[in-house]
Order: sequence, then structure tokens, then C-alpha cells
Amino acid sequence: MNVAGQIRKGAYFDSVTLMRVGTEITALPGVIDAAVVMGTKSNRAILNSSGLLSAKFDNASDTDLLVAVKGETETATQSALAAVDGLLKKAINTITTGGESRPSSLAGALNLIPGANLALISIAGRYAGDEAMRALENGLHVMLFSDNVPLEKEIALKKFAQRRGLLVMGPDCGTAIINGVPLAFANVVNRGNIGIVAAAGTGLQEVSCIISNAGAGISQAIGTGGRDVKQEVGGIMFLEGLKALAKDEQTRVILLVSKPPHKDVLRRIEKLAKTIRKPIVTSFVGASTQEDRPSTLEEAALIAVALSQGKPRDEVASRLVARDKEILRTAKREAGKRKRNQKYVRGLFSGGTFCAEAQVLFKTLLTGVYSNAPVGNTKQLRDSLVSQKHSVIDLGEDEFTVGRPHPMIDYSLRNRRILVEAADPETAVILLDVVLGYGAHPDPAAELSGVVRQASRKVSVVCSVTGTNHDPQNRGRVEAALRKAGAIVTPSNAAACNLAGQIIRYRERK
Amino acid sequence: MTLVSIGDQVKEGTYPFHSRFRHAVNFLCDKQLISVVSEEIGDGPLNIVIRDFEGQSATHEPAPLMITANTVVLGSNRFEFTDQDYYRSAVALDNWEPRLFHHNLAVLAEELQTASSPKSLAFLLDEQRTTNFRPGFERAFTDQIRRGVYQMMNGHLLDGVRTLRGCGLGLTPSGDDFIAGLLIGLNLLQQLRGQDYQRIANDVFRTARAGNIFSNSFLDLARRGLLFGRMKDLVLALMHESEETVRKSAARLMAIGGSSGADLGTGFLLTVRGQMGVS
Repeated sequence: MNVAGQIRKGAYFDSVTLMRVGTEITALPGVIDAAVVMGTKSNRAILNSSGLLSAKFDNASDTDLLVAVKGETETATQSALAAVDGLLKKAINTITTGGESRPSSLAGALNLIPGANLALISIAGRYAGDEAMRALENGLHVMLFSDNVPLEKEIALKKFAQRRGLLVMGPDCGTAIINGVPLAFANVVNRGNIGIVAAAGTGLQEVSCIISNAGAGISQAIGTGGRDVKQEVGGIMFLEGLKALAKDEQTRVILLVSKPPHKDVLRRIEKLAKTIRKPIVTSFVGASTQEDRPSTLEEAALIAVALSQGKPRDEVASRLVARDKEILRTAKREAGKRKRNQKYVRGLFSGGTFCAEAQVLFKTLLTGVYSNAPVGNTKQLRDSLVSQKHSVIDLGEDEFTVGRPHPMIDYSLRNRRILVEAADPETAVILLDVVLGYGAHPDPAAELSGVVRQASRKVSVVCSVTGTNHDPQNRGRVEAALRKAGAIVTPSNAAACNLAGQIIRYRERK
Repeated sequence: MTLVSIGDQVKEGTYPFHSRFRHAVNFLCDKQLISVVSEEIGDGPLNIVIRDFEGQSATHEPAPLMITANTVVLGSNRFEFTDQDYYRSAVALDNWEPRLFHHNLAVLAEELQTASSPKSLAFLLDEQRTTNFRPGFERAFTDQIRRGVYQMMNGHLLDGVRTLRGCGLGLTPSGDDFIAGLLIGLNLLQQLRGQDYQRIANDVFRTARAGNIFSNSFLDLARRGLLFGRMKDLVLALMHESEETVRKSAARLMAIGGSSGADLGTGFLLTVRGQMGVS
């Protein structure tokens, strides 16, 4: 480890520039920590207490700019310091030359990029609806990442967009892939001929990754926000998305993903689907199973792959049956390791769709399942912070996310909960989803390995990893790290839930 | 370009160039800092607001700023102004409704907690926000801030000021912004309660003042109850306006700097809520 610093005298940069440069330096290879701060006595004290103080700073004055870097090696530190000039100049030059101008309004942004045809909006919900309408009035499609947009506003936006032939993805739409471009929380997947419409964000991520990992690819992945398929909104954008994919020349197979739509919406979807010549696969997590409908997101994705490759859908079922036999073997082995009173599964999910899918799958495997976001017959947890019997928790629900980052970005809350559940003598299995991709935590393996290692001494830790090897985090590396820490890693949430449920069933038979 | 407003604390004189930012060019003479700013920045006691002004796009050092009784001369540009162009920076409070005020303070608190920059001092209102700060310097910074605020809340106001001054990220460090918010809050309390807090404010200012001219200028104006436009709008909204207006004013305040507006807002809120040990 190496610490070095620079003093820049008489250097005045505004706060936004200083904060941005500080963040960029910290992201450089081999940099452990960095600070770009004014040379006040207080800041020098903080630099000292955080191990960043350089002797060069001893005589710094309040108006000097201090750059402090702690690196893994001297080379890393010196490289980072050498980059500072460039970073500061870039911060200034991009403003003076307009290379990265920061417009402060939609009008300003449109002046900068007159050909833009999509606006991604991520501001507080009470303002987001108006901004979205402004974007639509300017002829842009909208991806509305914001949540807490009033229902009436959502309906008005979608009706307006429908009349103009525009898409409104959202509100609360966290992921989409349009023309090969991942938007917000999305994965790096192959391009191909399978188009997705999804009213379930992590559902979209799961199927798109499974499709890509199976060698097929995505033409478009249109998110609609979860509320779209409820009665009030009526599936407006779900239907528009389906129509768009029907017309899209690159799309040969269509995959629909959602929690169960309202029956009126389902009727409209089915009616429209009958008019479309392309094969359509549906995965409505939690809907009553029909023989021709896949029972899991994984199965739906694999069926879409088979159809896109001109293969029969039946072969997917037989492949999964063979895989499930392997799951049973693993479950039996894990069950044998647990103590007598270890009898419950505790699912801690960052993705709401995965939490819902877990409940659906556990319905046939377990009795006495509780959740803070119950689906079907699952009972409501009295207190989201305290598990009861088999508990599946959606850590993305409001009670966990008000005033803090989403659990896909910040693992601290879930990590604490993992240790709490592992310490419970009645816990046999901890079930986790790990979602990779843009926007998600850059190093989930580092965040999780420690607690997984600790927990796996007492319980079976079962993880699914949603992602691809092309994601910034690299799925292969994450899986290897989690296995090394003691987790059992599965290629899908469905497989993980099946394994967790089977471990418990073997425990019950003992 | 046209002159939109001139701050009521801007005095006649010739001010050499000091520094330049994206929306502001600063001129300094005898420790008085005057900023020529775009409408994006807006009114302030020492601001001259020029429509279509581009602060950092010029590549040459500007000539000194010259101000007379009714003109501003900036390079080759000459702007005339009248009494009506002055921005009045003091806030006179009348007919305030305590219940509305306290309700709106809660709205401000909510906005700071939910909508402010992740690295702002709003973690003092919501502990969970400390997870936004990386281990290392940033967490050490939050510890220092917490220490200083704890001192203030427990009757050691000036010790707390010493702990906070110059502390943190940004050109005007977060600690200074917090203290400015405290001073603005003290001024408001003085008017609301009819009690004289000027001596305390002067002591706070003298303790906080250091070598950063931007912070010093800001703190001095705050001590004297002279507010920049966005803060004045927020104070008036808190006293008289609807929740919607308070939220919009809070959003405009929080848009200042990296976290300066939110830091100032946090200091102001804690003071006005009576949590800063000032009785």
C-alpha cells in the first residue's frame, strides 16, 4: 500500500468538478481511496485519520487544493496522481468546449442531441410524470425509471403515448434493452431474434441472461413497469410492446414476462396474441399453470431459445428433468449436513420477481411460507425484519429502500440479514439472488464472500446468479468466488428455489 | 446579454478578476467577492445576474469588473441598472402561521432525506444515508461531522463550529455550508422569537472564519441575515406557502453545487427545529 499527494495552489474548481474528479480517481485501477479537498485544517485531520495524509500537506493553506491517493502499489498511486491533471482539464474543457455539456432541462438536452428519440427519466416521482409528458410532447419515447408516479399520471402518459405511437416504459421500469443498448439496470447480452415484453424487471433480466447464456440473443427487451398489467392501467404498454415486436423484422420469437395480469388485461393479451404469426411464449409468474405454459422463467426462456433455433419446445422439459435429478442429489447431500432442528428456508431477494417465483415454486414443496410481499397463498410476515418459519423476503420493498440505495446496489442490509438468519438454529437454507449488470454493485463477490463463508459453516447457502460473462462483474468470476466461499450456485432462480425446497423436504423426511 | 439583477450588497469599485467556474466569474477587492453569474445561479447579495452569461466558456482572463452608481462594466459589455434592478437579500417575516411553518419544516426534512445528493449531510437526518459514503476518507469525514454536530447539540456550539469548519468535500466544504445554514437559521429564530441571537451569530462567524474567501463571504452574509435567492424563496415558502411550493423550493436549493445546498439546508433545518442547543 502506498500513499502520495499533490498540492495545487490557487486552484479553484467548483464543487461539482471536485466531487466528480474525486470519484474518477477512486475508480482508477489499483486505487484504494482518494480525496480531492481544500487544504483546511479539518480536512487534513480527516486525511490523517483515514490514512491519506502526505507530509507534503503539512504547510498547506485553506485555499490550496489537496489531492491524496492511497494505492495498492506505488505505481498505481503515481499513475493516479499523473492522471489528475487530465481529469481536471477534462472537467473544465468538457464544459468550455461543450464536449460533455450538462444541460439542465429537456429543452437544453434536445438542443444538444437533436436526433434523440428516447428520454430516460430518473427523478423524484412527484416531478417525473410532468417531465415524461414533456418528453412525449417532443416526440420522444420514454423510459420512466422513477417510481411513486401517481396512477392517474401513468394512465394519462400511456394513453397520450399510445395515440402518438410512442412507448412509455414505466413508471418503476428498471430495465430495458432497445436496439442492443442496455438501459438502466440491464445486462450485456447477445443480439438475436427473441423479443421480450416484461412487466417484471428482474424477470426481464433473468430471461434475457438465460437466453444469451444459451447461445441465442435478444432483439428488443421492452419493460413496462409492474403496474401496467393491473386493471386500472389495462396493459396499455404491454399490448403496444407486443404489437411493436410483432412488426419488428429482427424479432422471430416473442417472450412475455409478468406477474399474473388482471383477467381483463390477460384477455386482451390473448386476443392480440392470436393475431400474431410469430411464436409467443408467456411466463406469468404465479398464474395458474396450464399444460402448454412454462412453469418458470427459466423454462420460458429456454423454450424461446429452442423456438428461435427451430427446435421443438419439448426438448426443454426433458433437459430440465435431467437437471432436476442432479438437483435432488445435491439436495440429499446438503440435507445430510444439517442438524436436527434446522428445518426452514430463508430467502433474501433483491429482485421482486424472484421473490414471487420462489413463493410459487415453494407452494408445491413446502407448507408454512411467509413473505413481506406475499403472492397467492403465502402468508404475510408480521414484521419484515423477523422471519417466521419459511420466509421469503423482498428486500427491494419500500420498508427496506426508503432513504437507502436498492439492495442490488448496496449489499449491507442483506449481508446483515444473512448473518442473522444463519445464526438462527432453525435455519437450514439461505436462498439468495445475485443480479449483475449495469447499475448493479460492481463487485458483488467481494461484498458477499465474507458473509457467505461465515453462513455456510452453519447452513446451506444457495445462490442464483443472473448475468452473463460480458457483464461488468463477469458472471463466471462471481460464480467461482461464491462457490469458493461455500455457496451452491445455480444457473437460475428456479433451480435455486427447487434446490432449497428439496433440501427442506429431505430434512423433513429424516 | 442583459442584466437581470444586482445584489444589494454590491458596492461601487473596481474588482480584479479572481476565478472562473462554469456559471460564474468571481472578482475580488478588499476581501469583497462579487460574482457575475448566469440566471441558472440566480440572485444573491453579492451576485450580478446576467442573462445568457457563460461563465467558463471564455478562454481569456477577463478585465476587472467596474461598478458605479448605475452601471456595471464587464470587459466590453456595459449594463445600466436602476434601483428596481436590485435584489433585496434580507427577509422580513410577518404574518407567519406556526402550524403551517412546522408542517413545512417536516416537508423540507423529507425532501432532504429523500432527494438530496447521496454525499450531502442529510445523513444527519437519516442514518441509513451513511452507506452512501465509501470507507476511508468519506466515512472519516462523516464521523467528524457527527462529532461536531453532537458538540453543538450538547451545548458546545463553538467547539462544534471548530470541528466542522473547513471540513469536507467541495470548494465550500460541507462543514462551512452547514454552519452557514446554522447562521441563517439563527437569524430566522431571532425574528420568530424576538430574541437577540446576534452575539451568538457573530461568535459563530468569528470561529468559523478561516482562509477560504468563498466560505468567508458566504458565512458573513448568512450571519447578517442576507440570503441568496433560492434560500430566500425557501424561507418564504416555509412561512407562507403550500407543500408543493416548499418541495419545489427545496429542490432548487438542493441543486446548488455538489451538495452545498443540501448541506446548508440541513444546518438550517436542525437549527430552526431547535436542535442546535440555542435556546
